Amino acid sequence: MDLHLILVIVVVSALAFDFTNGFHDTANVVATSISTGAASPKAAIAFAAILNFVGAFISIEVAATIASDVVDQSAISGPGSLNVVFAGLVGAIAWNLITWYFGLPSSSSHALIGGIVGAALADSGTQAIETAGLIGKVLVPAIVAPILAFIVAALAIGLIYRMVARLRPGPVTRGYRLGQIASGGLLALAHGTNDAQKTMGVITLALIADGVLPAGSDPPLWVIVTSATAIALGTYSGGWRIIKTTGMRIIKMDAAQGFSSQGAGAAVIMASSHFGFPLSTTHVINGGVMGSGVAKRISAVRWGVAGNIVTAWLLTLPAAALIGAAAFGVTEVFGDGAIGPVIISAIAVVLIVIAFVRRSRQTEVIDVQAEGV
Amino acid sequence: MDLIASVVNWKELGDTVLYAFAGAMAVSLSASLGIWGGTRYVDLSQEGRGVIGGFALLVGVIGLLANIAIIALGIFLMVSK
Repeated sequence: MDLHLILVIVVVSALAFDFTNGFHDTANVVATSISTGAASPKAAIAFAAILNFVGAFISIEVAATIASDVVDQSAISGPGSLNVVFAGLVGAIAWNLITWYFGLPSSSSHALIGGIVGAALADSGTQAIETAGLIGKVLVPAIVAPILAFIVAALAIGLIYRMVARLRPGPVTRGYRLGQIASGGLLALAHGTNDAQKTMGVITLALIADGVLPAGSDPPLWVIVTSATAIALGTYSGGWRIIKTTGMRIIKMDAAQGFSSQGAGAAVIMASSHFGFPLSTTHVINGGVMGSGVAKRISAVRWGVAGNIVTAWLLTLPAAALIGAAAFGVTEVFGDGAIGPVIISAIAVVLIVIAFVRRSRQTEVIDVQAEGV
Repeated sequence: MDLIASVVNWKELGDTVLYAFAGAMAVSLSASLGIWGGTRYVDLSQEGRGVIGGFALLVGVIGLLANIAIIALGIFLMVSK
C-alpha cells in the first residue's frame, strides 16, 4: 500500500513536470509565428496545444531511451527505488522553478535527466548510471542538435533569400506567413513528440521500479494518453503569460526567417525523435532562431542572450543532479516508505505557491511601470 | 575522447544530421518554389504574359505539392520505426 502511494505521488509529480514543460516551452514553439504576424497568440497557442497532444502519440523511441538508457533499471529496483525516481523529478521541477523565477533560459529535458541521474548516483553510486547511454544518447546529441539547427536554419534562410530576392516583398511575406502555419504546426508536433515522451519514460521507469511492469517494457497506453494531455494542457495554459515577455525579447525577424527557423527546428527534433535522442527542444529552437538571424546579419543576434543560454545549458545537468541527490538524501532520512515523498511534496507545493505569488506581484509592478512609461 | 568515440552511435547521429539537413532544405526549397511560382504568375499575368505566367504557376503548384509530400513523408518516417 505504502509503495503504491509513492507510485501515485511519482506519477502525479511526473505529470506535473510534464505540465510545467508545456507551460515553459509554449513561448519557444509559438513565439516566431506570433512575432511575424503569421498567427494571433490565441490561435497559435491553441494550435500548438492540439499538435503537442497529437505529437505525443507518434513515437516511443525517446521514452525508451529515458526508461532504459540513462539509469540501470536493475540497479534501482527494490525497496526505495521509487524514491530515486521521485527525487529525480523533484530535482527537475525545482530547477525549472528556480530558472523560471530568475528568468534564466533552461532546458526542462536536461533538468529531468540531471535530476534522475543525481538521485540514482546518490542511491547506488556510479553503477546505477548507464554511462554509454548517457553520453551517447543524451550528452553528445545535446551538443550536436542546437549547432545543427543553427547551421541548417542559416543555410535554409540563405537559400530562401536567394530564391525570392527579386520578387515583390508583399506577396513573399504573405506566402511565408502561410508557410509558418505549416512549419509552426510541424514544430509543435515535433515538440509534443520529443518532450511528452520524456515524462512517459519516467513514469515507465517508476512502474518498472515498482514491479508493475517487467524491465524493458514500453509505456502503457494510459501513460501515453495522460502525458499527452498534461503537456497539451500546460501548453494551452502557459502561453498567455509567457508570450508577453518572450514576444518583447525575441529577435526582430521577418516571415521567411520565422519559417526557416521553425522548419530547421522541426526537422532536427523529428529526426532526433526517430532515433530516440531526448533533446532539449528549447535549445534546438533557439539554435534555429539564431541561425536564421545570423545569416542575415551577425549583429541581429543578441549574443548576450545566447551567452545566457549556453551558461544555463552547462549549469542545468549538474544543478538538477545536485538537487535530485539532495532530495533523495532527505527521503532516505524517513526510510523507504511514503513519508519522505509526502513531506517533500507538501513543502514543494508550498514553495511553488509562494514563488508564483511573489513572481505575479513583481510582474504586476513591472506592468504598471511599463504602462506609466 | 576514446570513451565518447566508443559509446556514440555515429551512424544514427550521422543519419540524424543528414535527415534534418535534407528535410529542412527540401521544405524550404519546395515552399519557396511555391511562393516564387505564385508571385511570378500574378506579376506576369498583369504584364499580359499569360503563357509564361502559367508556366510559373505550374512550377509553384509543383513546389507546394512537393512541400506537402515532404512533410507527410517526414511524419511517416518518424512514425514508422
